[in-house]
Amino acid sequence: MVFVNVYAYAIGLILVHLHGTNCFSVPTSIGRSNNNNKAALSTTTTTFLNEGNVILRRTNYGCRCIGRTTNSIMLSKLSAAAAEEEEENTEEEETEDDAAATELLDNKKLAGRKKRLIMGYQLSSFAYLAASSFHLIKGGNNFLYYIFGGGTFTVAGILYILKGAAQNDRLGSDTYKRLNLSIIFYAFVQQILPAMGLGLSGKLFFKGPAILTLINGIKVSFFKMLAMLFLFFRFITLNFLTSK
Amino acid sequence: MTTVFSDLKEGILSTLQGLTVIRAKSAGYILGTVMLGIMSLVKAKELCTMLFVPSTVSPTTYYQIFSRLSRLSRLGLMTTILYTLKDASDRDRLKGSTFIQLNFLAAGALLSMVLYLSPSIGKSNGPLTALIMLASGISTMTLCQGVSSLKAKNNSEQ
Repeated sequence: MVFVNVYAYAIGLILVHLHGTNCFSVPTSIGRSNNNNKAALSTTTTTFLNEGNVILRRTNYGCRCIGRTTNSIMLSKLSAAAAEEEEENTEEEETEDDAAATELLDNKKLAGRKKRLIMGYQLSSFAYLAASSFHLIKGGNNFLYYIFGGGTFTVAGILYILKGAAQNDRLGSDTYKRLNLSIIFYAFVQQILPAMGLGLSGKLFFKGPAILTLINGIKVSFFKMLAMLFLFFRFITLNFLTSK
Repeated sequence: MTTVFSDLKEGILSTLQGLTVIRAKSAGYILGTVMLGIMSLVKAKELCTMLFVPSTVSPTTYYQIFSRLSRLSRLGLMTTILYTLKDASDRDRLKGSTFIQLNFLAAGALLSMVLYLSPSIGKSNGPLTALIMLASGISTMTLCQGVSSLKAKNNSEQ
């Protein structure tokens, strides 16, 4: 029963705290969240007369009908087509239009990435908050130091700050880079540490937030792949230890 | 990949440059940064001795190594917070909501550290007691700074 409670608590927490981040809405071209993009897209479709640009209209139509994944795939194809056209065509108007289209696509990608970042930061922040509440209830030796003294609660606070920075597009400044690095280091150390003596819920609260933080904090794909591999082995060992 | 390393290099350089700037208004934060930085360096040194120069008399266990590593990461976190606050204080940015929250976080962290170390005040004299006094002073300072900048921010909004 304890296991069930832990999982139910985790899932409920995720659902409750994702609610505010607007991540359940599908970002199509007629979505509420990007009205500006929709207006720009419609104007570009009307001005395009080229043969290749029929694709754009079709994809635009497809985006409205189909969901998010096809949208992104079509858009990536479209950007490649636009790049080819830029090489071929020499007339000024068309290249301007293409440039506008690629810019639009970049904006869309950035908006999606920002959304994911905010979501991830909020999720990991609340996961750390849950972990600190768990440790607070559990108590133990010097538990206040282990929660507030550079522990789970501090990390939750910093992740909350980083979420605010992501909302205001300020993550590029030195302050937030520094905070991000320190958090990645903390999460990495938490992943390395053995969790032998803890129970299942303790392990979950010890490793789970760190996994979320690592995935969110590391943006480079190569490092992300390494981290995923590492986490995969970590999970195997975790399962092995719990099954004993 | 290359952007990451150039970013890291620039960040380290700017951090080292920021450490050379000493102003009277950010004296408390400098003190805190130096204190926590020295503590984390001591932890790193202990870790290095355990890993690379293990003593034959009392062999180190994995538990010792991992506890040092864990403490190093927490102290590094606290050092980062205090250095960020020092940087903000140099640039007169302490009224931003980020730095108010960071002030409260630092106050909590140092207060919990004081509570953690307080049982050993009477037993071991000297450096540890001084450390506790310093930490409690910096904790109080960050708390007051956070409250005052919060008030100033509220006043300017109204």
